[in-house]
Amino acid sequence: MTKLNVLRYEIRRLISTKQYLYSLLIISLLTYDVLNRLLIGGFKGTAPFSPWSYSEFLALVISVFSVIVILMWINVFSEKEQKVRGIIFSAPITQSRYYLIKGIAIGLAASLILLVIIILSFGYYYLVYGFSDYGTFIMPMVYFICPSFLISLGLGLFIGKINVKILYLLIPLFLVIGLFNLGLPGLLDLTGGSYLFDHFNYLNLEVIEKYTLTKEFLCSRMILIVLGLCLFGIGCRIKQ
Amino acid sequence: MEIKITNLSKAYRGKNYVLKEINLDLKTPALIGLVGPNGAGKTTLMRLLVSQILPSQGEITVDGYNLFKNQHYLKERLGYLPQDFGLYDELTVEQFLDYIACLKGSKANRKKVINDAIGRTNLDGKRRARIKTLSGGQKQRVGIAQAMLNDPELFIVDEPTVGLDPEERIKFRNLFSENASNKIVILSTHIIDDVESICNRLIVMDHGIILYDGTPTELVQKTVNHVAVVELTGAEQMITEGQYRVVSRLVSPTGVRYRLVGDDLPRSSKLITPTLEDAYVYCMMKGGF
Ligand SMILES: Nc1ncnc2c1ncn2[C@@H]1O[C@H](COP(=O)(O)OP(=O)(O)OP(=O)(O)O)[C@@H](O)[C@H]1O
Ligand SMILES: [Mg+2]
Repeated sequence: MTKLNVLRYEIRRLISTKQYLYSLLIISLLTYDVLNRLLIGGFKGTAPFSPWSYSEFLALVISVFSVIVILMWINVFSEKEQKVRGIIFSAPITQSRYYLIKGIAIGLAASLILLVIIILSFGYYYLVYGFSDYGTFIMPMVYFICPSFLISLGLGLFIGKINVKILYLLIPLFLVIGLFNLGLPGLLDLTGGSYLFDHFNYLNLEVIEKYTLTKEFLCSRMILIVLGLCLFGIGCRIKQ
Repeated sequence: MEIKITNLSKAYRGKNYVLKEINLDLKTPALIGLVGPNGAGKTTLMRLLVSQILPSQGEITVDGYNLFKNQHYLKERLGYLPQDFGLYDELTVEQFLDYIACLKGSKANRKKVINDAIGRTNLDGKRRARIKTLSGGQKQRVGIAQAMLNDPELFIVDEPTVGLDPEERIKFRNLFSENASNKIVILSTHIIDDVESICNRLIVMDHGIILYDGTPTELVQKTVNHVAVVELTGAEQMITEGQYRVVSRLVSPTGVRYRLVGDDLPRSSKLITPTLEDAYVYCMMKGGF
């Protein structure tokens, strides 16, 4: 039970920082900008509120979101935090348990940001198009949020444990993969943006109506989710 | 509680040995002062004792259990203040102590345990202050307070009195010796005075080996007849004979008073009763007893 209090403190420490506030601000602006400027005409001719457009929206926003998660991990491994570990690890808590708490705290604090993104986008659709059939967005959310979220959560911990400096490299990596259309293959296409762009060209009207994605893509999404969880699990256990 | 250290050696990655074949037996009750020059290996020994680093060779057992295989056993009974530590700046004193108390899984009433630690470290006025607004000495006290949570059986503090004003320093060293009757307290320090006033066991280290292990009184006794003063009137006068070390040099209206420690003191000097500081210097000079 007392460990839950530790988690509470960790979440509070995360969301009371300036960094968190700025993250929220930037991602809110980005949300508005993507919806209002890039997707106002809809993704490749579909309606702006089609699941396709929403997928494209998520794919773009999620790359910046992943960077926010990585930044949170960078803080965890900063020199300032490491100096507190001398005291923390004199308490009867194992390293894996401690990092599990840190990871859950980051996961929850980041989920809060996600919630803001989603609420903003829903609000936008409602106000601009009077659209409120949000059920159609559930599948896009699963496919385009979960994999990159878990990968950034797992990879951040895994790499941070090995070497903090490499963590910084993940920032441009996530941005490049997410914001540019590099035509990356399934497992490297973390945000799913490349796939979306490519896949769409082969579809006929009938399928577009239905929002169907290829099996290979869904498979790679599954693998990414599992990979993210594995990296997180292994990351917790790596001894520093 | 009993801690046995056998043939303990430590070399940091690819470097020379900074601890060499240390053997120690620590038993409740004990109030141990660990002294030695910078780089002697005090912090390294303490970090091994709290299992934050692993030894290169040798073994530590706590109540018969191998320390590195039963870290939980030790950590449930441990209060530790590292030499160079950080705190969560954005939390208040009370919150930080609560955070650590939660990690330690306080059995007793947590609020009471925290209040107790705050009271004993004289932080009452600062309990709701954010840690980043505290002075250096106040942060040091927060560090000591967290080590005191749960009234641990093993209390290891690495230079706890740095940054404290003289009055606070005296208060704290008395605090360490309070209720030490059912504990092992190990404190490292550069202030011989602190050791002299509270410790019943003194360990002197240098270059990773133990030069002396015993009571402070015994060390002083070994130094009897090796400490002397000599007063020189003229500034041009020099002492030329003998082999000794100058512990202090005091300028007075009548001349300069030197305090000397050594085996071969000048004939003109007058033997005096040694202090623990003299004894420490003599011990370092001889390279151990
Ligand atoms: N992390 C490290 N990596 C490499 N060498 C280290 C490390 N920590 C300490 N040392 C070396 O080990 C030796 C002993 O250091 P230690 O910190 O134990 O000394 P100390 O007795 O605590 O000194 P001080 O009084 O200055 O605190 C020193 O020579 C130091 O250079
Ligand atoms: Mg030290």
